[in-house]
Amino acid sequence: MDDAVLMRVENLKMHFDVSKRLFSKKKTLLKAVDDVSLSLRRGRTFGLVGESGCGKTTLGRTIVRLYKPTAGRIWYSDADLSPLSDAALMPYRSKMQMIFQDSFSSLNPRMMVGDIIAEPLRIQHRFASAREERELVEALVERIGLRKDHISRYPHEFSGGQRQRIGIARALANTPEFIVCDEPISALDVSIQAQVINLLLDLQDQMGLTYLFVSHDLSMVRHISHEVGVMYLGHMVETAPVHELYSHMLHPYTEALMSAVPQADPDMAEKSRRIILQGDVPTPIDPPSGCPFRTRCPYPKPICEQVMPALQDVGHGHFVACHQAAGSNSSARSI
Amino acid sequence: MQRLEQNAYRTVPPNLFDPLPSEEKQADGWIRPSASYWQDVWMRFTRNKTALFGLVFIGLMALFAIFGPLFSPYPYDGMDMLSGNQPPNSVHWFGTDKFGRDIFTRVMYGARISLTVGVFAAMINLLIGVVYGSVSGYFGGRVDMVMMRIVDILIGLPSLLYIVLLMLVLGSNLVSVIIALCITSWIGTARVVRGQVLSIKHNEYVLAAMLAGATNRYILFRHLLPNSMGPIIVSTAFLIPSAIFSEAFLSFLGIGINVPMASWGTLANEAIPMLQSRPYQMLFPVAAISLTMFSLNFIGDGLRDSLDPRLKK
Amino acid sequence: MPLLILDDLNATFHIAAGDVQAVRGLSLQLEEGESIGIVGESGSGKSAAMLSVMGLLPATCEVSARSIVFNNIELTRIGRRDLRKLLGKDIGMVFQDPMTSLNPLYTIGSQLTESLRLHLRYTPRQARERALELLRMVEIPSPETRLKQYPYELSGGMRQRVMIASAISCNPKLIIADEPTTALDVTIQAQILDLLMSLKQKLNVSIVLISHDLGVITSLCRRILVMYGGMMVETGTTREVFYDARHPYTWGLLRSRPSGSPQTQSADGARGRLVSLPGAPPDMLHPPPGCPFAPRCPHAMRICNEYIPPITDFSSTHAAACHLVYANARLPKKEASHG
Repeated sequence: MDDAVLMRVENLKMHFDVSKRLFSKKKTLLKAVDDVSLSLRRGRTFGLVGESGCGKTTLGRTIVRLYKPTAGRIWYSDADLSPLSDAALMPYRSKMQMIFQDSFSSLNPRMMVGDIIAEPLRIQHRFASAREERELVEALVERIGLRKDHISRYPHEFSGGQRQRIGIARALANTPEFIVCDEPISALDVSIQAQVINLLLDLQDQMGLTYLFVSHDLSMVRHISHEVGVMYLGHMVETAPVHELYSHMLHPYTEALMSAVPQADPDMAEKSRRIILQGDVPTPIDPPSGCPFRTRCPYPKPICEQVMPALQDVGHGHFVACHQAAGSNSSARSI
Repeated sequence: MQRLEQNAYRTVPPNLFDPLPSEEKQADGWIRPSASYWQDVWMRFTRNKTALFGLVFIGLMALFAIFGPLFSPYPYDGMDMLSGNQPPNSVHWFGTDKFGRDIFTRVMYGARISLTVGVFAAMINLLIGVVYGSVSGYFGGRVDMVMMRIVDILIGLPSLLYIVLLMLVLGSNLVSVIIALCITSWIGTARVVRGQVLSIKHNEYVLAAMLAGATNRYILFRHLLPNSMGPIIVSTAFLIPSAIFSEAFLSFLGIGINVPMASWGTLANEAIPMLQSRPYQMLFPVAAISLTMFSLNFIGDGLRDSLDPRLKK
Repeated sequence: MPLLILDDLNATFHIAAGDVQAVRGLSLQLEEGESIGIVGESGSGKSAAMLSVMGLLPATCEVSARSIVFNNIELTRIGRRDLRKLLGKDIGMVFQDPMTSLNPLYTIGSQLTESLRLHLRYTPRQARERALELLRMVEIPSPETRLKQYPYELSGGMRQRVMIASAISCNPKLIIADEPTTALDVTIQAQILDLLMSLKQKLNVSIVLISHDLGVITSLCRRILVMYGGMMVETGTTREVFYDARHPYTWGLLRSRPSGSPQTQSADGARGRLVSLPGAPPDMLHPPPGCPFAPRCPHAMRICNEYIPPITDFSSTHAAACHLVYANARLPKKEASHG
C-alpha cells in the first residue's frame, strides 16, 4: 500500500434493516452508504459534502467502525478493519477518533470536563497512575485553549465554542492519527466557527493528523480540504483534489450544490447564476433506478434510468459518476 | 444604559482613547458558575414546601415504625379483655379495640409493615425494572421487541386473580404479599428506563465512548444509567405509595396480612363492625394510610419537579 | 410615511437569575415594499426584537419603546392581545422550524383556511379556493391533495412553502422571516430564497429577514442591520456594509468566513488561518458596561469599556456605533475594506 495513504475504503456498503415487523421475510433496507470507495492520505484532509440524508455521516461512522459494514473493505495501513470484532478492534480504537456536531449531546452532562477528556485514556488503560493522567489532561486542556481550572467544571457551564474544544481535547487524548470531524462547526456561531477551524488546522500541522471533514458548508470544506468528495443518496458522485473540483465541476449535482450557496458579496451575488434543482431528495429506502440523481437532474438521458454510472477516472485525480459528464470531459481533455 | 452623546467626545479625557489592556477584556467568554446537578436538585426540592413536609412526615413515621414499638408498654397482639373498646385516653392514646389491644401500638406496627412493603417494592423495582428496561432499550431491535411483548402480556393478566391464587398457594403473609405486588410493579420503571436509554444512547457522548472501545457494561453504567437517574427516582418515588396502598387494600379485603399481625388494612377491616359506635378505631389507621399516601406523593411530585424542571409548567 | 418605525426598542426577560437584556435601544425604519436583513449571532437579540413588535414574547419579557409605528398605527399603547389581532392580518411570519409552527393535528388545508376565515371573513368555499391559489403561488405540486395532508407527510422544504403560503394568505404588508432556511439543505434553501424573492416582487411586500448568514440576506435584501449584544452596531445597504464596513464586529463577521466561496475561482493559498474573533458573545445577564463588543474587539480602547458609542451616520443609509470613528487617528484605514 502507498505510504502516503493512511486509510483506504473499498466498495463500502452500509445498509440498515428498517423493517418494522418481527417476522417478515422481506427486509426493508435503508442503503445509507452504497458502494463507496475513497483514499485518505496521511496528514491531509478529505472533505465530504452532501445534503442531509446523503449518507456522509454514516460513511464517517462506518470508517471508524462504529458500525459493522454490510460489505466492502476498510484498510488501515495494512489491516482490514471491516471484519474485526470489537475485541480485535481495540488496538485501533486509540488511532481513530471523532469530533461531533452537537456539543450539547457529545459531552455527558453528569461528568466533569476532566473526566470527559480522560475517558478514552481510562477505557484504553493508558496510565496506571492518576498523576500521569492528570498531567496529560492538563496539557490537553491548555492545548485547546482552556484553563487548567476548567477541568473540574461541568459542560453546561461553557459556551458552544468552548464545549466543542472540550470534544476536540477528548478526541486528542489517545494521540490518534485519524479524526472524523462530523459537522464540527455547523452548530456554532459564525465568529466561533473560525476559532474552531483554526484550531483544527493548527492541530493538523502540529500532530500530522488525517481528517475526514464531513460538512454541508461548501466554503469551509474548500478552505480546509485537500481533497473533496460529493455524496448523493449514499453514492459518491464526484471526487477530486480541491482545486480541481472547484474549478472543473463535472457532475450536475456538484454544480447545482455549489451554485446554491448564497453569496454574501453583493457583486458576486449579482453575477452568480443559481441552478435551482426541482423537488426533494428521494428517500434512500426506495432510491430511483439507475443514476440516483436522475429525478432532479437538469439533463437526464434515457440511459440514466437504466444504468447506474460508475465512478470514472477523468484524469488529474478527478473521478465522476455521470454518464454524460465523464464522456464529454475526457474527450474534451484529450483534444 | 448610557449611550455617549456625539458632542460629548470633546469632554472625554484623551487617555480614554488608549488601547484597552488585554487583562481588562475577559475575552475568553463567560462561564456561568453553577452548582452541580445534585446540589441543584436539592435546592429546588427544598424550595417546595409540601414536598419538604412529606419528607419530614415520612421521616418521623419511619422513626416511629422502627423504634416506637420498643418503647410501647403493649405488645401488638397483647389482648386485655378487661380494657376492650376504650376510647382514646391517656393510657391508650388511640384507644383499644374489642380485644383490648392498644391501637397506637398496632398502628406503629402497621407502619413497619407498610414501610417494609414500600422498601422491598422499591428494591425489586430498581433491580428488575432497571436491568430489564436498560437491556431492552440498549440492545433494541428484536431483543427489545420480544422483551416488550412479554411486558405487555404481564400487564394484561388480571392482577387480583393471580394475587388471590398466590395467596392460596403461599399462604397469607408478608412475604407472599411482597411477591404478589412485585410481579408487575417493576414494569412501569422498566418502561421508563427503556425510554430513557433509547433516547440517551443516540447521544454523541455514547458514540465517543464506543469509539474509545468501551464495553456495553461501561456505557450502561457510566453514561446511560446516570443520565436516566432522574426519571428512575421519580418512578420509584411514585411506586412506593402505590405498593403500600395495594398492601393495605389486600389486607382490608382479607387476602393480605392476617390478624393478629397488624397492617393498616387489617386494622381498618377489623374496625368495620364498630364504625357506627366507635369510629375512632377506623379513624387512626385510615388517617395513617392517607397521610402516608399524601406525603409520599408530595415527595414524588417534588422530586419530579426538581429532577426535571422542564416538566414543570 | 414608513411602514414600520421602531424607536428605542428595549426587551428584557425577567428570569430567576436576573434580567436578560435581549434588546437594547434598537431603532429602525422600513419603507413600504422595502426589505431589510438583520444579521447577528445567537443571543444578539435579532429574533427578540421582531417578536416583541408582534407581542409574541412570553409575559416574562418586558417590552418598552419610545415609539413603535406600523402602518400608521402607534402600537406602544395597544395591549398584547389586541396587537396580535391587529397584526395577524398585516404581518405574516415565517419561522425556522415549520414543524413547530404548523399544528400536527390539523390538515394543511384547515390551517391555511383558518386565518382567512378569521381575518377576512371568507366563506369555507372562498377560503378553500384561496388556499389552493396560495399553494399554487408557493409552487407546491398537486395542491388539491396537499390540502388534505398533515404536516408530517410533507418534506421540510414543502412545509416551509406551506408556512410561506400561510404568511401571505391575508395579503400582508410585511413578512417577518426568522431564519427561514436555516433548517434546510442548501439546494432546498436556494428554492425557498428564489420563491421569497419572486413573491416579494409580485406582491410588493416588505420583508424583515432575520438570519445569521450574510449570503442569505444579500440574496434577498438591499439593506442590512448588524446586531451584537442586543444592540445595532452597524446598518447600511448591503454594498456599504460589505465593502465599507465601519464596525470592527462587522469586519470580523466578514473575514471569519473563508474568502473563496464555492463559485469564485480565486486560487489563493487555501488553508490559511481565518481571522477569528476571540472569546464568545457576551452574557446578556451581565452585559459589558460600555460597547458590548469591547471584550472581543481587537481595537478596543478604554472608552469602549465606559460608554456605549453613539450612532454615527456616514450616509443617508449607512450608520455605525463605534468609538473608533472618533478616535480616527488610531483607525487603520485599510481595515475598512474586506479581505
